Amino acid sequence: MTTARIQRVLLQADGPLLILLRDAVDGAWVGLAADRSPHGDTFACVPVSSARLAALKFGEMDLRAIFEHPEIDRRASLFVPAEWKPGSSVALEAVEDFHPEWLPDEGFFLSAFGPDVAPEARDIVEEATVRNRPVVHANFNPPEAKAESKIDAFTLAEGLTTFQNVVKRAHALVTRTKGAATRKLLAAAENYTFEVYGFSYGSFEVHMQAKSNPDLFGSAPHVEALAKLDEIASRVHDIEAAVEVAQANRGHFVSAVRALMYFIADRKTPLKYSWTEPNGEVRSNLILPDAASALYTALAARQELSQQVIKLVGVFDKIHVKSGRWTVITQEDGEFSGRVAQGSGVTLKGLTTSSVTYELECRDVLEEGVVNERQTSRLELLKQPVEIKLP
Amino acid sequence: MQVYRAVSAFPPTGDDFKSQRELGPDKTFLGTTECHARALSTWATPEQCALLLKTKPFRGLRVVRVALTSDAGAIQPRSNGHVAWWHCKAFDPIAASSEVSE
Repeated sequence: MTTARIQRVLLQADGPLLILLRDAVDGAWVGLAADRSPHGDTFACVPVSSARLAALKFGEMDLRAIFEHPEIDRRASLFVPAEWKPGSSVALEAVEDFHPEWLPDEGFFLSAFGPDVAPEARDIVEEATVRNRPVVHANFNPPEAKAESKIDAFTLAEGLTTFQNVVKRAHALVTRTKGAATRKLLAAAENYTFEVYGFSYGSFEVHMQAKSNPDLFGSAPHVEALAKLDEIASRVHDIEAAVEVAQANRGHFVSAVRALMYFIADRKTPLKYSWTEPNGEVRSNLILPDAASALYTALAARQELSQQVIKLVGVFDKIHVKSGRWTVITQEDGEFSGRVAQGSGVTLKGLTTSSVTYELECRDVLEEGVVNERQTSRLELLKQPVEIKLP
Repeated sequence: MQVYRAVSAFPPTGDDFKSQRELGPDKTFLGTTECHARALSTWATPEQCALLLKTKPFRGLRVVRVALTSDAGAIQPRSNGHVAWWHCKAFDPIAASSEVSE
């Protein structure tokens, strides 16, 4: 008996039809539904290499061949009981041979259930499949790379940081509307951070994967953030349309996009990025320096798009009337500190600490010129806090 | 819109349009949400649906075309051709089904 974990459902058809498992030594297995009942599902399972898994996905191998001729001569049956809890391990019971009925008929190609993959996108799709998580290929093409394969270290570092920062801000934006508990759960850095695992040979195409573990669909929170970035990146050649997207997503996300545009224009470094997730389509965008420059200028002229106005409800923990500094504790998101916005006319005199709940309208301002993971923001109180009665 | 579903016979019966949740009220379903466990799996093309018949859970079934009208319920198509269908109780899926010749 071998213990394993169900990693992902490769194909759903009124329930899981084809699944991917990982055993205790991280070996991959595929399982095909052989029997379904209200008490549980039985699967026929065989070990599978990354290469075979990719061949299955791209339709280069028939499903029957995978099960009839496993690369390693091992076969197992798996029973997943009705009361199985997601995340718990399952037991692969070794079998001599499968019941002939369990094997699929010839001619079942998994590629029939996936989007068409262009030859140039094959690598990224394969990587997302094997790594079972969203994958990004970011290609930086600076002027120094035209004659020979080289890149200024600062350019590469800044490019990656700026790109990652847009994803971070996009993540904050898309999670803003979720409930407090979900927001707190998704706030961990691994939910928007990528980790580099390779480069394309002879270029500065950086290969990155989502840092957090994906769900059974192979999906991770990074995907929503990347889709948000796509909204504006795909319109970069139509400034009006891109500014419209910025208007609908104003705040730190726009600041981060503006910084990315500045980087591409200033370093004359076109950025092409592609991303996909297991079972997903490949999406690509190319941002050229001229287009980035135009968008940067348009966004810089509309400073209000970079400003984020937030409302806080909480009790003051500290108030310093003379300096205008304050700290408030909110029920949902903890402690926030800030100061009175210049020229706002707001005074902290007469406000009560600890016992009275106030609503505060603040401007969340990013520290300019700092684009790294420690980028900080400051809160500026825009209006006189309003006392509110909580039910 | 037309979608394709594997059913036990033609004409199909009400049992052919039961969701996973209806068939397994206490079951945990792998890799799917409770919402999707209450949907029916249908497919964008008859070819995709016919491929399923090559596997044990679907062997011996046949493919029908279901003509979905605006009162059929809600659908969610995915890029792999799978169309999750939450059918409205007032909609008669049997009357909306037609046989797909092999």
